[in-house]
Amino acid sequence: MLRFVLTRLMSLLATLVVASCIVFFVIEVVPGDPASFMLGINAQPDTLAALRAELGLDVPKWQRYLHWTGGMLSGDFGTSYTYRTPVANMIADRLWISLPLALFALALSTLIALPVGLWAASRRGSYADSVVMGFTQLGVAIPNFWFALLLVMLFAIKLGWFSAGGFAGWDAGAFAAMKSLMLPAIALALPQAAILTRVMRSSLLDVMNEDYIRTARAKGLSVRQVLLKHALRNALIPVLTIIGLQFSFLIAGAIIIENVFFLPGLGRLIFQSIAQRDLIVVESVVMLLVFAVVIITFLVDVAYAWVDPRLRQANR
Amino acid sequence: MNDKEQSLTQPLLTLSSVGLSIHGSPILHNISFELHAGKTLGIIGESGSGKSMTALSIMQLLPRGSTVHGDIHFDGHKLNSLDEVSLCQLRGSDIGMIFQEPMTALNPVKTIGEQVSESVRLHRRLSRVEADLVTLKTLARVGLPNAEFPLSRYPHELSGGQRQRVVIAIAVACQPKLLIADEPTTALDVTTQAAILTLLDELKKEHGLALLLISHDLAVVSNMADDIVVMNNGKLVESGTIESVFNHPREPYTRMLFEASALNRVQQPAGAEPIPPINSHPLLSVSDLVCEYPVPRETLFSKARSFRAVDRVSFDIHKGESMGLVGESGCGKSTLTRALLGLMPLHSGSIVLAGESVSAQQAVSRAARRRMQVVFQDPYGSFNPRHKVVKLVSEPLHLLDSKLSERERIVRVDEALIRVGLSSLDKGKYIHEFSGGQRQRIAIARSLIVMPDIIILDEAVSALDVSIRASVLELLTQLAKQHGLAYLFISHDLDVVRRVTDRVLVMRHGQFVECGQTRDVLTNPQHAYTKELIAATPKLNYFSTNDLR
Repeated sequence: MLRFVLTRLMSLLATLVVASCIVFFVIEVVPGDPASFMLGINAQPDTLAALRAELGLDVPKWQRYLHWTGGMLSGDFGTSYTYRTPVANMIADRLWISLPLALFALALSTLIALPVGLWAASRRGSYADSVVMGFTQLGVAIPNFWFALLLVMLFAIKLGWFSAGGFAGWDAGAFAAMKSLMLPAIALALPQAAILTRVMRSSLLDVMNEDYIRTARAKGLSVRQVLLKHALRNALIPVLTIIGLQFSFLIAGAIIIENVFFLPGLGRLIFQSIAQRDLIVVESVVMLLVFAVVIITFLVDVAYAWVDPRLRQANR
Repeated sequence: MNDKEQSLTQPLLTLSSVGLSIHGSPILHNISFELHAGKTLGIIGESGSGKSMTALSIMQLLPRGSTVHGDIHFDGHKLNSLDEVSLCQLRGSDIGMIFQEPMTALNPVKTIGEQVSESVRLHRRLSRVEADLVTLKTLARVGLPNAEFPLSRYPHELSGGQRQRVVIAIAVACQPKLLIADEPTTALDVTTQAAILTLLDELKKEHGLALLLISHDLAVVSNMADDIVVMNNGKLVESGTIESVFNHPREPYTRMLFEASALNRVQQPAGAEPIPPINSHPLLSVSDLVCEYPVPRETLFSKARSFRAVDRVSFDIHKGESMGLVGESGCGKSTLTRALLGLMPLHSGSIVLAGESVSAQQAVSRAARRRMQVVFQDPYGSFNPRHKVVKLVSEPLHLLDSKLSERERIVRVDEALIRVGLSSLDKGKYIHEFSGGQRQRIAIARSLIVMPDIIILDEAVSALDVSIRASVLELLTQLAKQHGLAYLFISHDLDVVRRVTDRVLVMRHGQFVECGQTRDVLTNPQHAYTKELIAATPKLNYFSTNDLR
């Protein structure tokens, strides 16, 4: 198991190196010079050159790549072209909203989806199963920003339980902060939960057709015991895959929900930076997201091996 | 005492007029039989005869939408009207069951210890430690001693035979009164089969349990059973003691079944002596062939190692000759086949087909590919289900040098289909519309269409029922006579090899341990392994071909 984790870590590092090269050079070839964007179209050539030198844009690309990656390793992400503040601080502030929001939404969707999927699978073909499946269909189909607006109308405007947007800040206390993330998290979690429920249910039903389930039934286990003791763990593999994908999506893909709720998260940061040609921020945020996705994939791989003993050896 | 006397006279299991329908369509009709404690009842029948459904009816583990009529009495319970809770108490405790496919019968994410002790703890009120003790004892009894097979082993770390032993351990851990074994050895090699059957027989004697043995293999049943039930199409054809049914079968179906099984055992007629002329050039010549597989590295930096699956083998096949290749799973048969087909890189040695060398490292010419065709074991899996037969059968035609017109293709397909005993009307059908035997005929038609010189038959009749197997073998023999075809007949079934081959190669651990004229090798084996293989093959007792004639 340890060897498995170590080899996975090695490939994780390799992925990061390759990804950083791609991120850097792809963004470098995108048209749009940050210096001329900052100074406007009427800038003098010598001012432009001075600014380029100040931003470090005049040295060869490979030197800038090494400088950039070296800096990131020591926690220095550079300085934003637009705001002239350290990128690391900007990201850290945003991360403290995006990461809890993603975790919150993921926890909600998993906590809803796994039991409901299990429940629907145990009542396959029943009325309850059809109702659950109908709702998940609806959950997949409803756009989450629209659902977010409905939530705001009901809980913020009509009932007044939550604020309609904005972030209270962690200084206001964990409860207040979590409360302001509640509606966005629900809005994000709903479609994810719907998908996950369907995956959980169909994966369980697949597993229930396996020969070893029949063996377990022949032992004298009831249908429910078989479902919990034998089917569940085997059915988790596809579910883990989806959870991993969903978490990656939740970290980076909350742009629309962040906009609906006026949350200053990572999604909004990257959106603004692209509009302002603040390349260094874009590069750093994208790299951070790549890092997050790679780490999550690694964790999912480890979870596979934990669930399925065959994988511990197969990947040696 | 009274109880004991009663158990001697009262059958343990009684089925009276049991019928089964699934979603309204009838599966079983009017099945009645009895099984006494300490006895073995064999249920014999071809695929689709309802053997397994009978077993599942007793277990009450039927698919959704099933309705059972009639009575299934077991040890004072009427099983088909018991509630689910009582059934769960009986299953695994008083009735144990063993299944056909040991590779998938165990939960891959649980250790063998967990899986056996689960059954013990479910039915006996034991602590975890006590249950583990029972588990250790049971596993040791079925031939998996703790020293070599600790409880922490996972199923994927065991071979098929060992997994089947674990399944048996689960079934007998609570010392059931009835053990149902549904084709328990069909997926296993002959020597493993012999060991598992011996184990079942011993367990039966030790615990005085009743054994319900379901098999398509008459020889297996004839060696094990006291009584026998013959089933066909969900109906009971004939039943009685094994001696009476085997020696005096009353029903035509039973006779047909026995004749088809016996055909495999008929010696080759003495007149057919197709010993090839020594001087002629061999059609296929393999010399010093070595094939290796890379083994995954232990660590990132350790030396790459490889596993030698085929180890310096040499043989020739001449035109019109039928060569058998026997050996158990893992002996290298499949690797050798892959190498012959040019699908596997050769480590060293050579394969020469009609003067042209064959290997995966270089492109094999169309001419060579035309000369050699293959028929695989699974008649269904080797066809694309979305294509019609005409397309499936005409596929190899692109190997011909000249492109055929559409009409010529159709004519060829018709010819090939008729030659294998099908009709030209069949070419517009899809593969799922055919039975297993017909599918295998289509596979043969597909290989015949380019007029090959040699056909490799990789376990080509293993999946077929005995009666169908007999007719396919008959077809192959005829085709060989008509077209001077050579065969390389790969099989684990010695009887099949005896029936259709001239010479035979016995393979073990990647090497040939014996080769020679089939009749000599099988009647007078020289190597210990060949002797072991022959001894392990179940013989059809109580029965001689003369009785039928």
